[in-house]
Amino acid sequence: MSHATINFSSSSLRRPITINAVFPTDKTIRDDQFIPEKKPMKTIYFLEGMTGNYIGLSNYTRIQSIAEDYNVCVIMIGGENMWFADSQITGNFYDRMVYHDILKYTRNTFNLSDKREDTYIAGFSMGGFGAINIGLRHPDLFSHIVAMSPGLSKDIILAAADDEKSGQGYLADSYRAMYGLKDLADFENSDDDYEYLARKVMEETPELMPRIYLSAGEKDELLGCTTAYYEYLKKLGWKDVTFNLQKGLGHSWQELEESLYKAVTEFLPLDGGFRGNWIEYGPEANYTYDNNAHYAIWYDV
Amino acid sequence: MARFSTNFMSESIKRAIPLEIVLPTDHCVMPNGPLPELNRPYRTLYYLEGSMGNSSGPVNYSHLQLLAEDYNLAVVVIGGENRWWGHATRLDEDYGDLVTVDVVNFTRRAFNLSRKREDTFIGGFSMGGHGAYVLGLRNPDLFGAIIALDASLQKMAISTSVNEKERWDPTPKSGYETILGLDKVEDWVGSDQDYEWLAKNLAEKAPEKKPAIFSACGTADGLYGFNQEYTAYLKGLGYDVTCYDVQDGLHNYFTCEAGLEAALKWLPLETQIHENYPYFGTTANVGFANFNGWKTLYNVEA
Repeated sequence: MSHATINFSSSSLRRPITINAVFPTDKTIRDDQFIPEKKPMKTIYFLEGMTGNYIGLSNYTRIQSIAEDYNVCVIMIGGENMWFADSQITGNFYDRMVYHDILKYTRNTFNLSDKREDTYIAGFSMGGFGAINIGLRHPDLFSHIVAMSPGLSKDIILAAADDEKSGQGYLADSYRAMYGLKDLADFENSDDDYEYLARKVMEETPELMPRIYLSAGEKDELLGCTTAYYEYLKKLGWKDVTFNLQKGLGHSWQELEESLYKAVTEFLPLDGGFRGNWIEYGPEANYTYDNNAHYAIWYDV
Repeated sequence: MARFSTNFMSESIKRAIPLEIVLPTDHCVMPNGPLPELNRPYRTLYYLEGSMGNSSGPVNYSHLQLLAEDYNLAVVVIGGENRWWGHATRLDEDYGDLVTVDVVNFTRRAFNLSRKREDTFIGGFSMGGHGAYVLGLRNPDLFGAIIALDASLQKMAISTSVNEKERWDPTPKSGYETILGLDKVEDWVGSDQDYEWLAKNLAEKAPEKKPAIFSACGTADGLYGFNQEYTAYLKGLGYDVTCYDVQDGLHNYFTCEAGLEAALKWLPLETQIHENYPYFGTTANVGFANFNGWKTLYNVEA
């Protein structure tokens, strides 16, 4: 159950940033059962939503148990309410912070796989928008995109005014600064326009088309924009895109956790080996000693 | 979402130990909704983790923090280092005092926590549930309520422990004797670490100080029978006991959390935040439309 909070230097932001990480390396396993292969770990790079930072997933969901059961490392990243965009206006590069700084730092420091098929980008709300955009901008790095209740707010951005805050709480000038635009209208077909990015991948690098998982809650305000994007991708002819409707839930931590669990169990190519062994997550977990059973920690095996 | 992961110096075990504290001070609230009592020292739950765990476990493995914030409750999480909260006199350490003296005093001085008995609760899962009973019943002036979640009531394990390895309980007899400060395990019965003796002693000597008790357990948990037996014993002694069954619950965090959720509804807590802008439960909906006008609790004027 290893959980770490790491501060490290980011070249894109020219100061230290903080991330959380969970690693399955010290998993408890019964030594008379299946032992997963020891190799560089598969990784989910998870992007948090607005008003949050790197701590949300750890504090408010049971991500650690999920990660341990599915033998995956999860790196948790905050977006500082900046929508994961590179901006020449502010001089802060939140896209590069993720795909370059965090990816390189974590791979150089921990035993993570650098293969595209082992690398996934995920996020919730603003983080869902970020997962889609970063994933589509860098299809050579990420094989899977998991976007839960993504804040696909192109129309809100384009309609923003200078005298009244938008539904997301920003003035037009804030959007211009954040996305590095002289004119808000330039958002269309920019590197932050998720529709443009999808078309670009289809036209220029179709062989690198990532698999995409989208979800939203039934009572979630972002249900509309998520289903709209799903339809958009299907119409474009996207090879592999799934949409999951979370019944009965709104825009909440529980919605995120349940959706993420579905993505982990049904969508990502993870190794469920531990689940046949000593389960951490779910009602069937049972943390009790067995008569005469022997237990080991994975790194001891 | 303020979560303090800290290490603090404990006099009772003569070294630093990790501790986690979650505080609802920065919970988001909607302007026109009901607010909790502001500027009031926090009601606090001292939460004891189970064996094979430490202080980081409960927040990471459950929705404890979401629940605590919704109920305006401070939670202090303590790991027990597999020491069963005992008087480890042979090592000159005391894992009971760690909690009831050091952690309580440290956290009350460091944070704005209430010092009233009716605002102070002790609870825990598994080994932590055993500890909640022992420490709660031994310190009736300190804790107004005990919350036992799938408590691992160790009487049988302790009294039948052996020194050979091939047993279900990994703590050998000599281990229990060391951590509980006993010459022999038989001396546990009738001692101030025996939760049955403690319950009886308190009921006889100071019945007016009996804490309220909430006991939750999964019906498929191997410990269910022990918990039923003990709560029946407590009721017989006149304790105010509420039992909660988690249907088909095994010994895991899902069961623990179901019990905890029920326990927090049972405790005399403020529910206004839960009604105002909940983070937990199916009614939670932290969406865009709410982004204009929200405030953090610490910025709201009383």
